[in-house]
Amino acid sequence: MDWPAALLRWFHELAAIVWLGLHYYTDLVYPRSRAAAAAAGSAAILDNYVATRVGHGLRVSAIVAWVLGCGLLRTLSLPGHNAFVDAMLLRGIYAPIGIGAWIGTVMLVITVWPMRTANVSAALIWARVNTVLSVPLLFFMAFGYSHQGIVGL
Amino acid sequence: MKEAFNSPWTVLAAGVALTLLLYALAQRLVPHVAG
Repeated sequence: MDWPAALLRWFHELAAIVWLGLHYYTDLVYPRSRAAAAAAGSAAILDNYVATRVGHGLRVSAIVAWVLGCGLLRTLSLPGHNAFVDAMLLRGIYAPIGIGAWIGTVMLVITVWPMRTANVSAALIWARVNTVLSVPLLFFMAFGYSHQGIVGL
Repeated sequence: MKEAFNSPWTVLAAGVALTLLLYALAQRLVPHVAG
């Protein structure tokens, strides 16, 4: 077994699942809980003690998933090619996974920048944007070269 | 209206629509993304 590639794939997917799972919680569960808590006068507790920790988990898992994904792409290089460069330039057989990688990069930027600096209400809108983006992200990741192994496409 | 916007099904539908749009664009603009 190619252990470096296997470990990169394993922990890339694990981190990505944590990231997207926290996003789905943030987008689909948190706002309703917050509205109910606000009606009871205690939304600040959620915002101060839950949202801050969820935000930290989102950022850490996003960065880990992205970095390991870049490394994983590099391990898929064929002779004479750098798969990471080819993917990011949407070249050849790496083009589909490259589209997924670009969507993931946009989502990472949203996670570490506007979601971090915005207030909770605005951050929840960005979480919705990322939830929608996660659908094509998963399509192009699964459709692309990397996650179909060596056969691809 | 707000309930519909906040429905998970609406979010999923928006994501699928965006996927189909990006796929159609990629088929036309990116070599090697075909069929």
